[in-house]
Amino acid sequence: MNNSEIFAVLRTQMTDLAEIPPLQLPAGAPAHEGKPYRDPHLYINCPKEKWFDLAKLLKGDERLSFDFLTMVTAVDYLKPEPLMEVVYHLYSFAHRHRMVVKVPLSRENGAIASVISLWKTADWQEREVYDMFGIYFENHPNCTRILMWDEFPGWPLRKDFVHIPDRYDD
Amino acid sequence: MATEAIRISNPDLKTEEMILNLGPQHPSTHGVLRVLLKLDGEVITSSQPDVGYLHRGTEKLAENRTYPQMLVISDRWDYLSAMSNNLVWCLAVEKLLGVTPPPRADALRVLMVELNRIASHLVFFGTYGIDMGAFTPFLYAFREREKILDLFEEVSGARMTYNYIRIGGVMADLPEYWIGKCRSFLEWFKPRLLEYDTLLTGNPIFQDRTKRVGVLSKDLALDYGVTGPNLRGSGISFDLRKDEPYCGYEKYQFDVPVGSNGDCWDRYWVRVQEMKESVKIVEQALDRLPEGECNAKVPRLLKPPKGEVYTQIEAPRGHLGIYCISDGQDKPYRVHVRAPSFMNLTMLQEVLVGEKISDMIAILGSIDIVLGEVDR
Repeated sequence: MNNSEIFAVLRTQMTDLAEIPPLQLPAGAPAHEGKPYRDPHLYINCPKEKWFDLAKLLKGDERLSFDFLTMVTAVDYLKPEPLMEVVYHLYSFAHRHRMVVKVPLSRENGAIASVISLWKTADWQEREVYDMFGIYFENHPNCTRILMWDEFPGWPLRKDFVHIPDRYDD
Repeated sequence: MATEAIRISNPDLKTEEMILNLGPQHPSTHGVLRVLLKLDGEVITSSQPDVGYLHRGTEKLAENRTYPQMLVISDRWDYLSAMSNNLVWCLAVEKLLGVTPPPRADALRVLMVELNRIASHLVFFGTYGIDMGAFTPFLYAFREREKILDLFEEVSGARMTYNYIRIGGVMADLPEYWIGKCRSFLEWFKPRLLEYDTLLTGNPIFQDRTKRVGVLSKDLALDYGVTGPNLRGSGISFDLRKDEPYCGYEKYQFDVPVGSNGDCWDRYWVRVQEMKESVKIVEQALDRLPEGECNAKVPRLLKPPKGEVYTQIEAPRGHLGIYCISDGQDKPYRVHVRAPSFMNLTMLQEVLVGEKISDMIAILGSIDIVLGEVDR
């Protein structure tokens, strides 16, 4: 299925989804800066309350059957407004199509439903996102730090993370 | 004299679960990996891998490095196949920049990546033999790998961290007589593959220890996001070189070996067959190496326009992906590395349950992880 067909199927089931339009060159931008690039997949913006329902639909619906969770990560934005986005890249081995879901979260005490019950590969990837960004995954059986040690202060991949010099900096 | 089974029927005898801490410093974990095993007798009831000992914060480092500087760090993820890491980073940045490398660069990239795949699978072959108690194959495998590393050294100057594939092309064209040396290596290497079959593949002890051990079903493989030879060992024919070709892979003729049962043997067999396929690809690349430039015109200061890219290639261990967001500056805004070993290792939690402790190393070895990539 192509992007618009996937989106049409999603819209029949859930109404508050929005397609993220491709980046446009701002008006008056100098031509030498080049055209913004984005992969030709479907990009969906999903509110965090609806994410688990959407995930169930994406995996369960026969026309979509996204059976492979390629990647989970997050991005931290300070500008224009403070915001964090959890990014899910999905692939369907049955239909050979892919799509991207972005779930915006608040930077303070951000929490989102875990999808470990649908894709087991989410286990460690969600733990990594928690480790690096401090986004808590609800209903995750073991949402603890994975790469950093348990006592590590702060969330290292946040943009406002300040490194406190320690004995390794000498 | 018939031996009599001795039955211990002492009511005071208590059995209890034992916790075994495997690693972090264990020769068979191929790096620094700790696995917490719970044992009932010699049957594993639960396993919890503990990673992060080699974490170097690649993704944070990327935010403070320019795009070409990050290339140097990419070598350090999967240090057994650094060419693939170089390649995926370059492909991602080239997409953002809108640069197309010339055909000769594409062919050289394929050539190097496939030679590196052979070298990487040779390490697997050798160390897996050691895991199974067969020391000899290791020496054979490293003898061959040495020759590949010599070829790389002539091309790039390095033996492990090549930094050869650059944004827009490759570092330099092939040195004089290199093609001849590579061809004579291939001619010498092909009969060696038959040697491996007699050493390890056809060895009944090795087969007994790997067949029907650590079975990973198709559904479980997809569920755990397993890719690469591990996925193909489970019977799913999916190879990005065939299914989503990059660097002109569609022009090369090769087969994708697929296993059937998803046990350790299949994962091993797929890798050994892949070496043969890689030899075919290298030969084809040498045969029709296009003439011309091996670098596209790329500005000295790289400032890709705003954008977002996800690129993945078929690395020796699975789908190696780069998710990169550019904000128009000379440094990436956010980089995420989808490391195949990290995903593949997750399946250990489930595959090990119910297996014997003596098969644990066989299963771990068959996943073929590189801890530099798991922890990044």
